[in-house]
This record gives sequence, structure tokens and C-alpha cells, in this order.
Amino acid sequence: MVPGIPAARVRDPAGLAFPASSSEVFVGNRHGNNSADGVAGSISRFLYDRATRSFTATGTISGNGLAGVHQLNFSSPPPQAT
Amino acid sequence: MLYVGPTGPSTAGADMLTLDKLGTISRYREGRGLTAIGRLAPVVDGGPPLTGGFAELTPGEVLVAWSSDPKTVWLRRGEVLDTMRTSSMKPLTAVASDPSVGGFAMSGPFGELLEWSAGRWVESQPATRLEAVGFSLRVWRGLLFGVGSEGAIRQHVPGVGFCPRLHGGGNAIRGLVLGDRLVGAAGHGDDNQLLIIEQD
Repeated sequence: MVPGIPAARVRDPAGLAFPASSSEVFVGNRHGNNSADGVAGSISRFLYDRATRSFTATGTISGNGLAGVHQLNFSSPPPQAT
Repeated sequence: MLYVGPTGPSTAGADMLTLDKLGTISRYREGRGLTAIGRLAPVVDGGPPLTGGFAELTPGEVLVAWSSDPKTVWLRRGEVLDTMRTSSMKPLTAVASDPSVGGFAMSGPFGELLEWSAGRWVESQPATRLEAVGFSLRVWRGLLFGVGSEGAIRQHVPGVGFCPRLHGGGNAIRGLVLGDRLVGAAGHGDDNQLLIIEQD
């Protein structure tokens, strides 16, 4: 088991995505029942380093009506027709 | 405006899909921002978070379902292709897909396993009960699923049975991700850190 991501670096995490093409973990933050911290919803990004088994925060997605994120997923583009 | 962190290969060419407490299914494309593309029933105001989520059947083809709504939304290339009632009246609590088995889901209080077949959910053959309300589901050395009430991850290997429970925290395990040597679990709750397990 690796150390994981501490609770203080996420906000009521309820969703998780780890695209196969990268080493980046995306966390859907629900921000509680009533968004008491003033943020309606957000997605935190962390880069996972396999060598050190550590997670480095790389940014946050929020705004544009994003509210109480529960689940998230990456949808790969379909193969291009030839 | 939508603030986006440093870009990386993870979002290049791929849509990010989100399902929020309003039941809104949104699509995020780098450079185009967030667009609402579909809707399921919302969370009851002040109620507990819901479960379910996304199952990518093939590249660009995704099913969306969760426990508030007996409907499944079928997306293709980031747009709603169809919305259908789930054949079982029991809500889907977890959905997933894997190249080896296609789309599958857990349903109801006893964790009945369903399979996506010919555009609808049908009971798995042989009929399988995972004996829990599953909040997340993946194929990993059998079936790996998060148990709603126990804060535990369980594993069921067909033909073998259940493996010992792995406890992740006091709250439900609401997300499981699989990557190269990485299995992760998101536990809902302000007091929960994310439990990360590396495949050995």
C-alpha cells in the first residue's frame, strides 16, 4: 500500500479517474452536502510518480457550473476512419 | 471561467465526463470548457451522495447510470445517443466495463451482477450475487468492488469465491481506478484520505 493522498488535499472525494494514457490521477470533489467551503464542486489533479510512490498536485478544475462532482471518467476518442 | 491545471497527455484528445449532484452529465474538452450533455435524477437535497457512474464500452461509447434513477444514458462521441429504462427496477449502484467482459453493473441491496447485452442490462449468466451494495466496480483478478456500508474493498474470483476484506476507512469506497500497477480507491468523507494500493 502506498501513502495515498491526504484528506487535506482533497475535498470530500467521491470520484476517481486514472486515464490509462497518463500517470495523472483525477479526483472528483463533492465539497460536502452544502458546499460549506464556498466551492460548488471541483476536480483535483495529481501526478503519480511510480518511483517515489508520491502524488504531486498539478491543478484544479472548477467553475462553469461544476457542482458536487460525484463521478468522472475519460472517454477515449474513437479511432479515426481511414 | 473554467480553470484548468497544467495540461498533460491525459486529456489530449479525450473527453472528460462528469456526473454531479444535480444529475448533470457534462463533457469537458480541453479548450472548449464544460458542456452539459445529459441529465439523470438529482441527489435528494442534503441526502447522501449517490453511486454509479460511467462505463466505457468502446472508445467513445459510454454508459452512464446511478442510483437515483432507473435510467441509463448511452453516450457516443460525447453526445447522448439514447436514454433507456434499466430493465431491473432495482437501481444500479455501480457500473463498469472491461474489454474482457464488456459492460457490467451491480444492482440492488444484494449486489446482483448485470451484463450489458444487445443494448440493455440483463442478469449475468450464471446468476451472480456479490452480497453487498456495491459502490464501485472493476475487473481486477476477478471482480473488485467497494462495499457501501463498510468502507471496505472486496474481491470476488469466479470459481474461487470471496477474498478477505480490505478496509480502507470509515466511509464508503466510492471509486476504484486501475492503472499500470496502481489500484486506487476514493473514500467519501472529509476525514478520508484516498487509499492507494499498488498492485504487487
